[in-house]
Amino acid sequence: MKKHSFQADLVEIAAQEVKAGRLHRRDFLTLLAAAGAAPALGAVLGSNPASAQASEIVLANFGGDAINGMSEAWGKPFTADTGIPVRVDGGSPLAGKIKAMVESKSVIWDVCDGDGFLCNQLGKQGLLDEVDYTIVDKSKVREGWAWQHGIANYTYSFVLAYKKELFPDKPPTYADFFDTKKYPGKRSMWKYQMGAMEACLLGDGVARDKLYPADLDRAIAKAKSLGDDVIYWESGAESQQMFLDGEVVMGNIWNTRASILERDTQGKVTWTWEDGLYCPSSFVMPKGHPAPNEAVQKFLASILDPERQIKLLSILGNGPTNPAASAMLPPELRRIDPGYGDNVKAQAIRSEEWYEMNYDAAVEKWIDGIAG
Amino acid sequence: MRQPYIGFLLPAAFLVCGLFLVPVGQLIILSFDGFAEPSLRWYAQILETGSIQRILWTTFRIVTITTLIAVLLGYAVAFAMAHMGPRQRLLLLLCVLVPFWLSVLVRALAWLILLRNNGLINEGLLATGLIGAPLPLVRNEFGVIIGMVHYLVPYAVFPIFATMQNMDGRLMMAARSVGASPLRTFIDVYLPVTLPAVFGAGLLVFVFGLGFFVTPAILGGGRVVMLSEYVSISVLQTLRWGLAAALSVVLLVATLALLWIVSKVVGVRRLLGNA
Repeated sequence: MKKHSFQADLVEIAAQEVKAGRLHRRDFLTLLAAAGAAPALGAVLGSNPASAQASEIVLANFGGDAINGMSEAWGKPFTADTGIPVRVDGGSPLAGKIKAMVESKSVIWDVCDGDGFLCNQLGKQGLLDEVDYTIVDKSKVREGWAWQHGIANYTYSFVLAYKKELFPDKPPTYADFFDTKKYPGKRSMWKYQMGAMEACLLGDGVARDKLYPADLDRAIAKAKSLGDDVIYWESGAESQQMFLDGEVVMGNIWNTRASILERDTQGKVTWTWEDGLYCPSSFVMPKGHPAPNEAVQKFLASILDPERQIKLLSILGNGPTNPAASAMLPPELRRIDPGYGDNVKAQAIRSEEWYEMNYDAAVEKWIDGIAG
Repeated sequence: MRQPYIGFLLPAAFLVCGLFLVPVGQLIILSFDGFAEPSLRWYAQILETGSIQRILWTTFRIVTITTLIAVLLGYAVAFAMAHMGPRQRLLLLLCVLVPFWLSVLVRALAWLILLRNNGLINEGLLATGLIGAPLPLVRNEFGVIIGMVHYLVPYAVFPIFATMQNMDGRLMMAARSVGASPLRTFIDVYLPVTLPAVFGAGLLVFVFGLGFFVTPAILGGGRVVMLSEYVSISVLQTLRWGLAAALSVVLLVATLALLWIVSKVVGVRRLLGNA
């Protein structure tokens, strides 16, 4: 199964939106066609694909809705500004694939979507190009999210989604999440440690700002305390389906899925930002990428534009990384932006430093801990 | 050369070398950290890490149970198929083949819908009052075994059925004619003749089962982690390629060892269907 990440999930959502008629199929198809035929499109748009100047920038993400969303919000305006087409390739740029490409010197991606902590993690292994901060404006992202080898492109959160009828007055806390006597029913968490670990620690009484350095053993013990009352979800679609099928009453899931659930169930399932885990995603440039460096740096600079970030939020539900964008949000988008005012204040912020150092070992230990 | 057709094998031989033997060789090299500074550290890690050993143990346990059940069921189905009329045989063959053609994902999800707490089986049992609370049929090892058996039974049926069908019926008649009871005939004549096929089927199912990925991921509810999933995580997420390669080599060696043992018991030629 390809989907081991939030990014992969976006693509899926988009495809479903098209199916459900909430996203214009024609636009979607046009974009997909454009994505597949970018050089031809470049010729149509007037830029000369044969010239030495960047004929195109290939942006790799996890496919699905995000192909359309990133083309629309980031690719199109950049092409309008510079004449350089941006082709979005939904080829799931997991760390392992980036490493394989760079080491075999056959890099086909210029920019890759991935979690924030990967910037340092892969950067230190010499797999990534550096961001040129004379071109990219550091001040346009939240402090600490402009790394040497990558920059935060959007945000997302792990949030507590729940059946509204169980909590008519106030949303549940993670203490309630682990209290299966008081609130019977199954819960779900992500199988791959992130978000789930933090939920366990919060449920065990750790304060939001004391989550890191994380006590993984304590988190695993808490997860195991749920016994058979926990189902681990693997893909975002699965986390959503479990609620729709009535298999679970609460779940630690991605905010994008939570807001779709709320819409699709007319509010019977909803979520709280309280104690959510706010995470930055990022763009990185694999070493030896085909497009000229300057063009790619300019592209990175362009995605930080507040309006373009808001556009992405409106299409995909991913929050802006530029604080100025959050401040400019129209009222209907404030509720779904994980980084907006009170939403972000209610949440914990993922420590990119901790994940950079501990992600590998943590995933393995967690998988082993929850198995059996 | 007396075999003029041997040249026809060349393209296939090149394909096997290029697409299979070379990558497997690279994998083996990778598991020793390459030529520059060869080391055994990944193998040492497998020996030292309790969690990896638990995953190996889970994998072998599930696959062994799955193989036993699948071969037993497969034997029964093949026996019925070999001894029924042509019309019924065709019908039964379809019953085996149709699920065989379905994708592994579809089958796993179908089992999930049937077996989960609010699935058809549990709801049905609850409605009849036979049980008071839903039975834990899925999102655990039990569910994984059901899903894997279902997937693998056809692989057991076909080789056993082929042997049964090619069997000389006069053997049994001869046994009966010298006074053996039907059970005696089965145990002393039928079973030994079909046994190599049973071993062959078991081996096939076992080896397939070792590489299972989707079924445990879906039906295990996240708490049944088998080897292939761990290898996938090591390659794509935690970037421990050496470890993934070493685990793959362990799997390969275990498979070859198994093949060797079974071939010692029943003979390679019989194992490969040349009974």
